[in-house]
Amino acid sequence: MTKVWKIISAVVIIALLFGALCLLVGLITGGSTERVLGIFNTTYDIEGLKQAYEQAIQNALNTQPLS
Amino acid sequence: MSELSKLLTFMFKEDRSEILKQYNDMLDNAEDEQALLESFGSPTRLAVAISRNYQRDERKLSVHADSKDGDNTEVSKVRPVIPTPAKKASQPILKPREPDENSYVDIIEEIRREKAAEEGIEYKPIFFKDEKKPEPEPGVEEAPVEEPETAPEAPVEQAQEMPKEETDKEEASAQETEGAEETADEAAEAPEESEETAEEETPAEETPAEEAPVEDAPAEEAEETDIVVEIEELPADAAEEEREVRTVKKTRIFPLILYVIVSVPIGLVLLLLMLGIELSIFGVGLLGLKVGFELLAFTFSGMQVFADVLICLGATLGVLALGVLVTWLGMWLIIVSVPGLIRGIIKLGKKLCVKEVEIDD
Repeated sequence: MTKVWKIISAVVIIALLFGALCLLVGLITGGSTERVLGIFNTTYDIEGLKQAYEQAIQNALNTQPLS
Repeated sequence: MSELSKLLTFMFKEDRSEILKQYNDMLDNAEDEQALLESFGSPTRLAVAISRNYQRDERKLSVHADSKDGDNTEVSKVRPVIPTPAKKASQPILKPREPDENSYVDIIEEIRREKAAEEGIEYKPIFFKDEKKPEPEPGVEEAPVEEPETAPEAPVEQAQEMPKEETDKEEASAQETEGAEETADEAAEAPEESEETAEEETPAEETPAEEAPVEDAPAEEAEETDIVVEIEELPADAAEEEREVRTVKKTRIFPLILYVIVSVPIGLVLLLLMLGIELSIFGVGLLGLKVGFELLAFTFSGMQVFADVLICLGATLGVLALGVLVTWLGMWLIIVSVPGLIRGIIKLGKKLCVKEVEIDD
């Protein structure tokens, strides 16, 4: 079990370090987080999903039995 | 003798020189040297007989102990072996307990034992673990040497029979005092056998009267035998105490039933709660992995600027790493906690319901 923990910890640390490195290099070379988020929102319609979840929660709260 | 010395290279140097000296002395003291040489047989046969009786491991220990002590006045430790001429053709090289061999061996052993007693030097038998019985035989050529020793030989023989186990223990524990203890044991234990007394001090007092000519030196060491024998008794007492302290586990039935009734539902509730938490952690980890793979797909399909791709890739790797970590954490918690909970419940039950009761033997 200890060995598995060691392997997984090593993989996670390497992935995090590589990810941080990529993020840094992207920011240095002129990347923009706003542009990325805008593309992400248009691709997956995050705003629509967010509104749908809020609506569902409100409906769930409104349908409580009246005393 | 020169051929024999070449064949005895397996022995330690001291032992080899000693045994050759013994054989030379035998030849010098023999009336008919030629007959004695014929009884020896060929040097090869003699060397084989000696090798079969030579205990190299014990000699190694004793030689090592002697070298540490720096004791140069070593008593002869090896015993010459003479193969019986009559049995040469039919049987292999002699066994240590054959009567013909004992006659020569015992004579030499007695001579060396006397010499050791006179000089106050320790005597260590090499070929045999326990003391050999010196059997006086009239047919021996060296009978005149035996005659003054016949009287004390009988009790010495009896003494040698008993302490086989004790001498073994003493050799293992203290090799330095081994020879002194053995000669003292002969003095102490010979009258024990004859009188069948369990007392340790009286044998030490009585032996000098019976074996005065042989064991004047060990008489002073009788007190040591008392101490030695007392020490030997301790393990028996300790064993007796251990026997008395033996315990047996007994289960109390009523508390056990009560515990089972209470622990099973509580245990099930705890188990479900634990499993719920752990499965939720596992689920979060799997969700993180799913999101990470979705992001990875988005990274390489949704964007046109390479810098943006790098930013997205960095974020994706972070999410994937955390997903892997949380997934493994959930799995590990399930693997460890469920058996641990069950083991803990069982252990608590044993502690509460099982009692140790001492048994007196």
